[in-house]
Amino acid sequence: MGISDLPLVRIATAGSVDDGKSTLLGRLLFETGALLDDQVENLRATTARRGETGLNLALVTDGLRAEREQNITIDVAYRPFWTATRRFLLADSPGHEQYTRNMVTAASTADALLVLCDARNGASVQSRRHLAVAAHLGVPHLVLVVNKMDSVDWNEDVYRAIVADLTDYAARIGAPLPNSIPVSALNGDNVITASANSPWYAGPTLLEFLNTIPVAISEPEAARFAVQVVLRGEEQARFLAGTLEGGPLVVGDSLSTPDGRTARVRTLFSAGRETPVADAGAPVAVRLDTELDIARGDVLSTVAMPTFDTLDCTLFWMDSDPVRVGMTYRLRNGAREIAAQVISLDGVFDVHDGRFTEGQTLGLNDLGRVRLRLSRPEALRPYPESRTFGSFVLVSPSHQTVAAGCILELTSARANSAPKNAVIWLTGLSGAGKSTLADAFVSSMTARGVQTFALDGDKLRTGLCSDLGFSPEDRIENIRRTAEVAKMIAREGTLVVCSLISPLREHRDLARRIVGEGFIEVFVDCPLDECIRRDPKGLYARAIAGNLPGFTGIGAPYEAPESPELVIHTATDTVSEASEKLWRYFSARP
Amino acid sequence: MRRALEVLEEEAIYILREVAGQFERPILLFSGGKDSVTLAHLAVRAFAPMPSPIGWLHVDTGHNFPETTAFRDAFARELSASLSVRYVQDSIDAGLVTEETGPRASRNGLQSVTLMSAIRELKIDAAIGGARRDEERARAKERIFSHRDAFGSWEPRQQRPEVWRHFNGAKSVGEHFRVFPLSNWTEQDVWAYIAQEQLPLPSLYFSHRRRVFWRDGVLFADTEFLRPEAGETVFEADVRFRTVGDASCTGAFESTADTIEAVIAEVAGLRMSERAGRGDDRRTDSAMEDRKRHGYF
Repeated sequence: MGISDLPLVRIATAGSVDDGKSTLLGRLLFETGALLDDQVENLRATTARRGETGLNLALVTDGLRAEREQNITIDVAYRPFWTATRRFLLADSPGHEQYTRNMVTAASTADALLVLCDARNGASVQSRRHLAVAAHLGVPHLVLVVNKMDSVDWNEDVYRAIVADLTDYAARIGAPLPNSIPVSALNGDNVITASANSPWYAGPTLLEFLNTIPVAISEPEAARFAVQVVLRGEEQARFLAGTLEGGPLVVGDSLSTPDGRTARVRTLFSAGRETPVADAGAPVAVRLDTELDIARGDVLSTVAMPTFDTLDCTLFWMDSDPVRVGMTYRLRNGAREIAAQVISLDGVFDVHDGRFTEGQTLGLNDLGRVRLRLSRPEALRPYPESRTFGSFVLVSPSHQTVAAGCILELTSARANSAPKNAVIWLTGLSGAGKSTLADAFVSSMTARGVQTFALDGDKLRTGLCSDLGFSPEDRIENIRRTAEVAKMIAREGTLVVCSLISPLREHRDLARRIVGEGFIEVFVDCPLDECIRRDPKGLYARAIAGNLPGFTGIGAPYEAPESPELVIHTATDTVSEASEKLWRYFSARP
Repeated sequence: MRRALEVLEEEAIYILREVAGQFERPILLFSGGKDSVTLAHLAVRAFAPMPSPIGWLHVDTGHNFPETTAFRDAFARELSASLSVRYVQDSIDAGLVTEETGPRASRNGLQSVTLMSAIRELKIDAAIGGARRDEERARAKERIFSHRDAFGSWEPRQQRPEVWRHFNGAKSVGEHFRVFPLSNWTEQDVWAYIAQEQLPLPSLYFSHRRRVFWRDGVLFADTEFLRPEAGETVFEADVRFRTVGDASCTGAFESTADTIEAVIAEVAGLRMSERAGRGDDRRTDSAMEDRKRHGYF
């Protein structure tokens, strides 16, 4: 087994400019064997040229000429190293305040963040700022590394005071800081091996800590992805490509767009190979069973995603031009780019007391609370639920990446409620597809942000109407109860979809009288022989065999509606086409 | 927990798809080396089952090993890729660059000029390369979507923050991007992937018998592009190459690893870095950074 088979753990560093971060990382790389012989020789030579002796490990991660000249870290360096059980990707980020935006770059994808602190100086403003950035970015594991312990003679009290100070601060900003380690990067104490200089410290060394942090991510069960590219070939077939969040996704699964269009997965590719099932995190290409008009940036999901146009978010400002309230930026989330206007600046983070306070301006390296209004509603999620759908960058008209944002709360300026008192009544033979259509329609409406509720005749008969049979009187009572319940729910502003055979005109007329305004009768039309052929519950077979007397269509009549509001032919339309027709009728109503 | 290679493969495919989504005329810089073979394969997988929309470009210095050039053409045919080749010799003939002279002359740096000419000529807005962050310290600093101004220059102190995976490919007319989908891969990952996907490679990567000589601590092949000077002794040895660049600046090393499995075992134990055998990186401490600032990939 090679390093390619190990789990990948991304770690980032943060700390003030003289906290010895580069030395610590150099130490980690050197002692884990990630520095190769010629690199060690180069380092020895570079160290000697600077008039120093031995190996200056701080020079390992500084890649740019200016960094070596000025002895500082300007930009993030990414370095791999590994142990027997884990594969690490280390993002070494700069300590200078002016480069905080690069620290955001490093920390945004990190599983763990090492916050460094110089034992001689205690917690600096920069340590606090970095801790706050990490807290708002939701980095899963934070560890405080108190460095240069050799300079304070491994004084336990000094260590404890710093830990208490920063733990306190972290608690105030809502980021638990349960781990801290006293080290000397210069001498290698507690970095890889436990030090004899700190008998009072019983915790893990830094490497032991990194080797044991839990890094399993919990993926949602619903599979979803934003379409990055629509793949077209010479044939008509189109494939929609993107990386799955959540899963698995299985051939035959139903995928919905936020505006309620639905189709099933007909063919599935994962990382370029056909497969019946793709797991969370897989780069997939999907062919649907119905051609939907889908473009780059559209989101497909097994559970319909609601859309919102107003975002309350935490914003890391990364440009020298401060944020302007009223200004429109382009918000980029993966494959999506949407115009976003800054509506208000609701707070600016004060590093010293760890709170958001009223502020007039949000400038370079500031952290703020901002409300954005999107030019159209989009399927986004709060950041704590999804890093993928809950984060974004803002791009200025001059193409610069000016901010990184985490969504806290999503709302809609436009009311998404249904017209009051709407009850869609699906009538038709058993097996015509009423319940299937109702399910598809409900999920499409939910995706559009319309609260919708299904009342299914078969299900009602197992509970509310379980005392009723199929006699003419019982059928009428069944209709009456259903219509009354539908009316109650509809009055609360929820759209109701009822699916009942309701074979006789008097049944539907009764329901219409009970519901009153907003009753929509939809004839789900399917020829009897097709229903008999489908026979999903085997009822027709039983009825034809004479075991189900009074069964509609066989032993009892079905009276087709004479003037329904809408007719849907399920023998010729697919489920999603039928659902689309229903949506079009519904949305065109005054 | 997914394996690192699976995560890296997904990341590369995600990046390639973003390139296809954000740019009009992306191109894949294909040299025939193991990294570009890996990249080219990923560029097929990313768009399967449909054909890859990304063509290939090779900047041919004229100093390539013939094995590499032959492999390049065969592999492009096998993958039905549309391959464009542009020649450093043409830039020299047009007077755009002056060739270095002397025994340590290299055309390596001249490639940048030919590349920029090709980018302008073909109106390329994204050039995808197989460079990895573990190769070299300036590359360790580079973004995945790396902005280039109209002169092709890299400005390392002004790099755009690259947060999460929201790649910002916005640019002005005349500017372009270099994109590095293999940024977070290591040499070992590339080999593991080549083994897993059973990808073909130029024969130079496997042990073979060759006439070689030592210069400045690098074992060079005796070719028409690089002749031994007085005092440099040519001898025959079993060697292979870790990187495949110009014959004038790419060193070999003694090895008997003649299969992918043997190479993988060997690479895992090597204590010299991959580019230690590259004469072009050994010129100064900042050789790569300086070349990158001037448009190198």
